[in-house]
Amino acid sequence: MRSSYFAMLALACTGFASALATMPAAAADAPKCGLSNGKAATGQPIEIGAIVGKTGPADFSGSAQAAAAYFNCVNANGGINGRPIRYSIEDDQWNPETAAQVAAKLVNDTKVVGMVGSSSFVECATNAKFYETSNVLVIAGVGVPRDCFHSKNIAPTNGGPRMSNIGAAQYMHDDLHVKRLVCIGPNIPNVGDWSCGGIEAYGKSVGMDVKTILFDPSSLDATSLILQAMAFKPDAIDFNTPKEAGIPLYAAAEQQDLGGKVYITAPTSHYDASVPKAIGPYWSQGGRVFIHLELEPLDKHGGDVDNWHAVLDKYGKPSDQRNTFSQAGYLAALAATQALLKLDPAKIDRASVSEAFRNIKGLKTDVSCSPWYFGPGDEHNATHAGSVAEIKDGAFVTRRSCFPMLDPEYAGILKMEKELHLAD
Amino acid sequence: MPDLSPFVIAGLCTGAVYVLAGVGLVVLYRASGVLNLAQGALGALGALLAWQIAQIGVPEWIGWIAGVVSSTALALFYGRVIAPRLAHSDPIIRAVATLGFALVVLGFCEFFWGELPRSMRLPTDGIGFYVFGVRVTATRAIAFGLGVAVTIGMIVFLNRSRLGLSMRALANDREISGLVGVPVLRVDAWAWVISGVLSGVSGIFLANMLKLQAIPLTYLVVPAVAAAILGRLTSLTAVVIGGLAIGVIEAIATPFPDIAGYRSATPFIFAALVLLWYQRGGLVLSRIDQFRSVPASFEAVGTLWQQLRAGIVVAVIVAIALPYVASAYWLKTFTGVTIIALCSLSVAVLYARLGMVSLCQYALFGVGGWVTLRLYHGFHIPFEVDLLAGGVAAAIFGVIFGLPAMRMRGLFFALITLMIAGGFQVFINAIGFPDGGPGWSGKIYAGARQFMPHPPLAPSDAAYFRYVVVVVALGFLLVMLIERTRAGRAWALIRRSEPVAVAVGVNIFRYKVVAFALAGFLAGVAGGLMAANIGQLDSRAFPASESIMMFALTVIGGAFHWSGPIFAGLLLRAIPSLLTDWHIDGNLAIMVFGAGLLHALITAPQGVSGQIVALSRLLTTKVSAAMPRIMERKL
Repeated sequence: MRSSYFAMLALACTGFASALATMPAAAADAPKCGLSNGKAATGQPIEIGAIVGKTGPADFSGSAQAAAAYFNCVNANGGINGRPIRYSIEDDQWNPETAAQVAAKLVNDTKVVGMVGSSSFVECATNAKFYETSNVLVIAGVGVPRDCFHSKNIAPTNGGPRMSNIGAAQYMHDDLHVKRLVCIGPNIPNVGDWSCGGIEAYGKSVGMDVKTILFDPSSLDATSLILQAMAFKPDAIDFNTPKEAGIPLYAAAEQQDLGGKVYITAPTSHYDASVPKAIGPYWSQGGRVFIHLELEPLDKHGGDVDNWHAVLDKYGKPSDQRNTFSQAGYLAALAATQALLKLDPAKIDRASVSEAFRNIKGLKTDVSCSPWYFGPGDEHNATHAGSVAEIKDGAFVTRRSCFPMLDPEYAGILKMEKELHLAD
Repeated sequence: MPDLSPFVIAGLCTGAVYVLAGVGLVVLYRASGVLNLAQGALGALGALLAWQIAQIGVPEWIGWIAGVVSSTALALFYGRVIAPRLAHSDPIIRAVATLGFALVVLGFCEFFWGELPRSMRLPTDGIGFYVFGVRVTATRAIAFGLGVAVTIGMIVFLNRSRLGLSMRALANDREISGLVGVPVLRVDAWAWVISGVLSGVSGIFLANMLKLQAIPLTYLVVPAVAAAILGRLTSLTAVVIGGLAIGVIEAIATPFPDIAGYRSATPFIFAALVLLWYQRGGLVLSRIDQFRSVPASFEAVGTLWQQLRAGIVVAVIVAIALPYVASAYWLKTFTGVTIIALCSLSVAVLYARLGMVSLCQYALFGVGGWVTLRLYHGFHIPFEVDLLAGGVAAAIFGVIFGLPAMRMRGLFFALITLMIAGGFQVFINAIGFPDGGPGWSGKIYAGARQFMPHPPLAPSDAAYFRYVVVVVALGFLLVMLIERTRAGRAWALIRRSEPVAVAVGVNIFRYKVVAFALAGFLAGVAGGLMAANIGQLDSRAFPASESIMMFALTVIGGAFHWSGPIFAGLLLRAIPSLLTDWHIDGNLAIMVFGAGLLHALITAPQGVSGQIVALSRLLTTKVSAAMPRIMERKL
């Protein structure tokens, strides 16, 4: 099943319009969502928004695509106690100015009651304050920069690059006995330094030597980066980049024939069926590349993972991405729907929704290893357990499932989680 | 001292990339006088097409041929259909027009293929050899050899063959060449064919050596220009040397942690230094470098009040009415439009008054924003003081950046400002904009990011819009007042003829400094206003291409009338917002934008404002001519 799924994925990727089109995965059961009563919702719509970075250096819209499919499914199945969700997705084009404009549009013009499934490189930093003053809560699908995890009103469902890189480093240390590791990340404040810094802090706690190399994202010289990394004589190199930006690093490392000399590891952004194909047989043969997963493997079976496929099959578009970020959007929509269903349908407004979102806790699903909660305070990082997959024969094979990521600076969140029983 | 020899080898490999991209630029520039900024975009299209064909199972070589043929066909189309319509424009306008074409091709590639991980594999990738412990693949060696071979071949071709000699004649002077019987269009077409073939072939190699993505391949043209500058855009040998030198310098900075994060600024610093070195002897004014087409039809006429009243009426009506009718989205958009109009005004001051093309005004916009944010977060002094300080800082940088212009103008001044914009992109990415942290950079690394709110005078979005209208109107007023002083009269003379200005004793240096300071100040204030509009700024919004767009849209809006920068603001912010509001794919919007740029450059050299002013003058003349007759009839 798994290999045929990826074979189909590979086939679909050759499609001319070629977004990450996938053939429908065989879904035995009808999708379940919301009230699951099969009745279309006809009441007054509930406005929900999302901001994604679609046009730009990488397409970050997969999370909202999955959330849209889930909300379509909810609307076809009784809605929120009869009221359908009207889901507006805006593209910030990776531009903070546009991000501020579309946020004003959603919050002040459309008057959304909450934001669900957002996914952007610039949106959190731009709009965090605005959401706070407008009392809008954001269940983000995918947070990338530090701002997405350190804002009062934003809580992402993914683990974030810092967590994911730490998880990758843990696997390197625990399972592959790596003693020296280099983290190569983009020289963007609060992105590369923040996530590679996580590995450094983890390395210190277990006695692993970690070196960070930050590079300008517009740099054309991947070979020098690889040479610089190799000068440290590492056992492993972490490519801490979006998947698109990682490809030249794999190519430069292949040119230097590093396969078998060092392990390559990367965060969840590289967990996408297009990656094994793009990096070619040299790296995807097996035993060489290990990718961390913030959420569950795509080929896992049972419960919400099957339901996620089923929802996308029936209510999504064939071009919708299917990767960790898509799962994160599904999880965000699921969390929001459950919270909304608890409210009196006549009294759904921004204040009640914000309170309901804030009070989400202990949401256990099969797409995530750790229960999800929103949580109080200025720091939100509920997803802090994940898995690692090896790229083998052009596909992903899960090697270690559901282990907690050990960020030494995370003690505060764990303490709060325990005291308030957020994960229970 | 770390061992640098591996980095020298790696640098030579990267240098081959710059050589390959730069040679194509120089060949076309020598053959037709056009600096083709679409070179990279055409290559990207060819490479993506080649990849696509290989994906459906057709032999790879068919894909390569198809890719090169399509790049060539598009280049020929541009050279035959669009370029001739701009043949009599300034070199810089012709270069900006190719950017319009690049945007169309880029938007198409992005719309069709999107940004996804792909790789362009070539059979020669598997073969390699070691030099100083660095493995060099056969692909890189071939690419390097190809760059050298093309260089030698083109030198021979341009110096020996009849076609080559005709191309050089044409690039030197189109009209005289035509008069002495050079078949202008045919020779031109060949130049574009050669350029297209080169862009297609190099596109496939660059996709292999860098990445198979349209955006980086398109904007590779900016560092490639840097390599070409060593040879004043005309020497092929110098491109090879320049490309390799840049590659090596960039690579050997790698093991030094203090500078490693900035090393991708190497091409820009290198090119800026080279240009400064070239102009050390005195005014650089080659035939191709002269500025020809600054029209003078919209000179200031009438009293200050006559000039101002229309503008004041528009500003007052808009400031009062718009917040009542616009939604939150459009209010934010129009605040952006107004701010961008001020930045466009700074471009227009230099272009219309002095005939200088500055492609770094958006970088100065960033400087002003940075200083405003830094002062606000650091000292919490009133916003108006921060804003003024941001303007002054940008004015100082504007003068520093403008210093090379004391002896340089035309295309080469434009290029040096483009290099500054390229360097700014790298530095601001590494530094980031202040958001309440400690230290000189003011970046926060622990705790929540701080925002700069709207000023206390104008806390709401509606009030802030009015605030911005007032500040921007003051900016326009400042320009009009200075135009009426001695400086303004000196500018007018300098624009017409620098030698004449020198002859009558105008202190050129002083009045150019005034112009650059004024332009920098306006851009800086605009940057500060924008920072307060969003609450912060993000370094990713400041690529060099934004500065080029700022100039291009200022030309389209019309730099010679006060309403021009406002049209530029509308085009740069309101049109994209409209497309976003209608949920039109952002990549289609890029294509529309590129096509609009071409259309405007070809049909309306004085911009939208020029057309409107001409129309209103026509109407006024018609009406005043018709009036007596109408009156007669009534009587």
